Amino acid sequence: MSEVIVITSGKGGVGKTTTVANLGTGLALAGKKVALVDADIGLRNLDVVMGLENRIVYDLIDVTEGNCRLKQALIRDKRYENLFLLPAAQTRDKDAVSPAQMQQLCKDMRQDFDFILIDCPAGIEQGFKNAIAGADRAIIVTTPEVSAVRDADRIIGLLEAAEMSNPKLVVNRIRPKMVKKGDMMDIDDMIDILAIDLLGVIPEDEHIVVSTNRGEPAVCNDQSKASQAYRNIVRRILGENVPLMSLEIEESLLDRLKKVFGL
Amino acid sequence: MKHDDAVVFKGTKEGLWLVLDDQIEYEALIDRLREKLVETTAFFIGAKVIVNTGKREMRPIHYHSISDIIQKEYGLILLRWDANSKQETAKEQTEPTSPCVVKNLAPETLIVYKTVRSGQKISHEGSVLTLGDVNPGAVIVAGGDITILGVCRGTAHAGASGNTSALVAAYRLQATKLQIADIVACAPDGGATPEYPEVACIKDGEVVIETANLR
Repeated sequence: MSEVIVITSGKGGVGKTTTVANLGTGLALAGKKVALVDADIGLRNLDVVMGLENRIVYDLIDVTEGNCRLKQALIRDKRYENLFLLPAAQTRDKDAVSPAQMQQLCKDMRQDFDFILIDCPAGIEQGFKNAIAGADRAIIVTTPEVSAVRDADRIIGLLEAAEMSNPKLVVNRIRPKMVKKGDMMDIDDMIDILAIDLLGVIPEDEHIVVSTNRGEPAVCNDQSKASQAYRNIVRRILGENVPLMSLEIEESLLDRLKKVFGL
Repeated sequence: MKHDDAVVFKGTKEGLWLVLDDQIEYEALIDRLREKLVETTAFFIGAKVIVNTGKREMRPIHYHSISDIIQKEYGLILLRWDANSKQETAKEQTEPTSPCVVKNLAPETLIVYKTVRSGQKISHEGSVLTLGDVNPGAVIVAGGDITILGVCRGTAHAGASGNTSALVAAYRLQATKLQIADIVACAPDGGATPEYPEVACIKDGEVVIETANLR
């Protein structure tokens, strides 16, 4: 059974592309055959984040317009042989493809892959409609900001209208220290407003910036907290019951000394 | 028996009505409905209709199948259900569980079984009851009262047709904008958010918010 999952958010810059790259790589690490589809036509990024930019020959529009076969456009990942990318076209815009074409594309891809992850563009217009057209379910990415949560709420409403129920929430870039001080929305506040199930929480992490710039998804790196969080989400997608990891900040030696001396 | 008038389209000020006879057998009605829609589909496709079921005892399955025929097979848009006898039908009515909806308890009250989210707007000429939150950016406009069994964080406009005695009641009333008839009130910046149910109404030409009186 293959599954088509769209990763969306409404607001830009919350980490959709990073999430697609990491979840896709994570699923491939778990032995699944995975395709990543960049639906952000005209503003493609996923290829850069995956480090596959200079291997692009054909793109999504070439496939939908029949200039090449699907297999020719799929780029095999450098690191994992069961991971593929279908890049977006950069010289066209969102109107170059229709929801019906995307549906057909997803249908064709189902035969070859266990998971197909679609990177949705920001916004609620044509690009969004294309990206969700062929998907079975949705993952909503948000950050702990009022504006991002507002947009996520709008997106959930639009998904409901498109009869795609039960989206799952990923909260990205949370800073436990700020939440503790009350300077940042906490998870419960967000769940309260959005009223959907939580799939995972990714802490803010410098490793992500480095790995994004290098074109190596962070899940490959064992050390960082964010990569641990992504791996947990992958396990949840595969049906495992993984508890949320603790985001408690480890106390520094100085803090501990201060405590000992009652300062 | 002739059933020529079993299914009739009527145009009124309120919009297009589809009046279904309540005397003939349900199966015969469905056949007649299909025939009628075949005849008129080119003319009415995409039209929004209010479906009147008269005094017929409608079961949930009936709503489902009529709604499917009208919307999916013939491409009309079902605006709402209507019935002639309120007392009898009120108990039985349950609506299809399409994501965005709503059932008519009595024709005056619209019940919304979900969270109303940003960008969604619910308009109804009667009262509106929501069994979920009304999130920021969502709008509810009602001719009568608005009752929210959840948190109201969006915009609520009660008494939209000019009824100044309409109310907005919510389990937690934190609306960004409240309007009753033509009087508007905006939320104060950084106001307190009380942890109890509240009611908004018009007093002396202003929208005031009071603790819900649960007597």
